[in-house]
Amino acid sequence: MKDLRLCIMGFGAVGQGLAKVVLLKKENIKELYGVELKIVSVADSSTSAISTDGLDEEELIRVKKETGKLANYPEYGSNISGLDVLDECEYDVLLEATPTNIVDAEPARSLTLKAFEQGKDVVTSNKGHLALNFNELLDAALKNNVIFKFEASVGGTMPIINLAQETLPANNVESIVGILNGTTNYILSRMTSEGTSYENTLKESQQLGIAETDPTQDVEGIDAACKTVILANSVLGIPAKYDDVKVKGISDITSEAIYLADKEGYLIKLIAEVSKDNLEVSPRLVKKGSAFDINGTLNMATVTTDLSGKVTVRGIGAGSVETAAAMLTDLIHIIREKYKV
Amino acid sequence: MDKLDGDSMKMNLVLELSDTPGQLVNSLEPFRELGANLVSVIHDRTDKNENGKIPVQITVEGERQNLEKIIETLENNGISILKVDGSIRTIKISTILIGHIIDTDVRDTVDKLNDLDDVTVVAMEVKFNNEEKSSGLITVEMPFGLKNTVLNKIKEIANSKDLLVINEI
Ligand SMILES: NC(=O)c1ccc[n+]([C@@H]2O[C@H](COP(=O)([O-])OP(=O)(O)OC[C@H]3O[C@@H](n4cnc5c(N)ncnc54)[C@H](OP(=O)(O)O)[C@@H]3O)[C@@H](O)[C@H]2O)c1
Repeated sequence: MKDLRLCIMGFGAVGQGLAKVVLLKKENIKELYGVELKIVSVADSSTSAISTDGLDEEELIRVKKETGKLANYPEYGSNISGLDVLDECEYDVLLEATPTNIVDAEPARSLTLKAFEQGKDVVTSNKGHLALNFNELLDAALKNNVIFKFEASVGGTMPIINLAQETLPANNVESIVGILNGTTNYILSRMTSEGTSYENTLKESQQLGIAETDPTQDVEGIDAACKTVILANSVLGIPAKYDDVKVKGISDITSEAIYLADKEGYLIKLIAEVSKDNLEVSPRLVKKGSAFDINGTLNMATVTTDLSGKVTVRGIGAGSVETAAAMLTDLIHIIREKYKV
Repeated sequence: MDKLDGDSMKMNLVLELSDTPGQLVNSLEPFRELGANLVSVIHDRTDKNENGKIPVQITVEGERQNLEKIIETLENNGISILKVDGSIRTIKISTILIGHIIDTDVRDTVDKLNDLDDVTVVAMEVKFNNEEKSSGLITVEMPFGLKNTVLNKIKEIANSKDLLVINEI
């Protein structure tokens, strides 16, 4: 039986979700692929837990939840952090779930490049480094002959990158049009069903923990624009940069506009459009009852192809275990490719 | 549609297809499925429309019901039908504008759209909230082929008046 040693960087919602899905699925993976998953190092912003024998998934979550720091993990907790964690302990795959940073892409960019140089495969849920440094990262992965997977960065658990790359490779993808931000979709759905103003609905979403205290990234379309850049590069082969996307958020949408749209059989949705002719995130009118008519925090995307016509997916766009599940799928892809016995 | 014997009719269509392989074959699928006979198909790849698409003239014979179904299926498949039996097909699109719609001369906004050939603003409704910003819904009717021209015009007007445009997908 072969061990597959995992290093998890970032132990928030997604990182802890990873510990859960590894615990839930490792027996299954052992049976199917003959590979034993072992979490050997885990880091948060300033501390870590490291053991070559493998860490206990439930204990990791308990320590982080109860004490806030992985340094408190019995026996194996330490103050080693950041890039040093990658040197401290041999691992095979980096699972990177640090915060998205669209200013300088750190710490994700440095962590990922270092892992590549060490010859390690990387799975990420992060958007910042992909939106800012897509080519640099893909070139580095290629140069070091490692696999780099990032399904979770767009649409959370909803398959979209793998769908286009792995399931529809006979096709040329002409465009992807979709709803790629759950928070704004929730706000717009509530404004529609309750007739409430943008400001009040945003407040309600913040109280429910759906919108963040600083909602800018979501409501101004920045998050969806990052995903637009990732899809443009990875699926359509367009060497797009963040600045190439026309971005307009939802903060100017009025309840009157939603009312007028409703009367004519339309909904207002924050739509990301990815095509050679147009990279755009903006509020758009969509027909009620169409594929774009989804409520709450769901995501969806319609992929238009040359041979298969339109293929539409919808699914859960965020969440701890859900996002981690997309990362585990990417990890299994790596196992099938490199480790299956 | 010309009446033939029984319930069978002849119909002339002008479709618009993009210049990619398989487009013509795909577009003809509904005709076969609904048991209509193609009388003629004129497809000249060197004769492109302004938008780079190719007009295709089709004459087809079949039962009235099926011919209507074909038009519906083609449109559902996202194929533009420019003409049916010589008359231009029109579509309506709705757009929402948010901002100082009244202060930026709503009449002028409507006139600028009506000034485009064959384009008519058929409805306009404006709603106010407590602040001075208003929200308006404009419905415009135009020949199928002019959709992009109209959408671009609306964007241009909105930009110049600092209005937020919410166009259809
Ligand atoms: N949550 C979702 O549903 C979702 C969905 C799709 C994609 N994503 C992406 O997944 C990533 C993680 O999201 P999340 O929701 O799990 O965020 P989160 O709950 O804020 O967790 C971030 C984690 O990263 C740690 N961290 C911060 N700086 C670090 C550094 N320099 N080195 C190592 N760890 C560091 C934090 O440490 P502390 O615990 O010490 O603060 C925390 O444990 C983000 O890039 C996000 O955009 C999230």
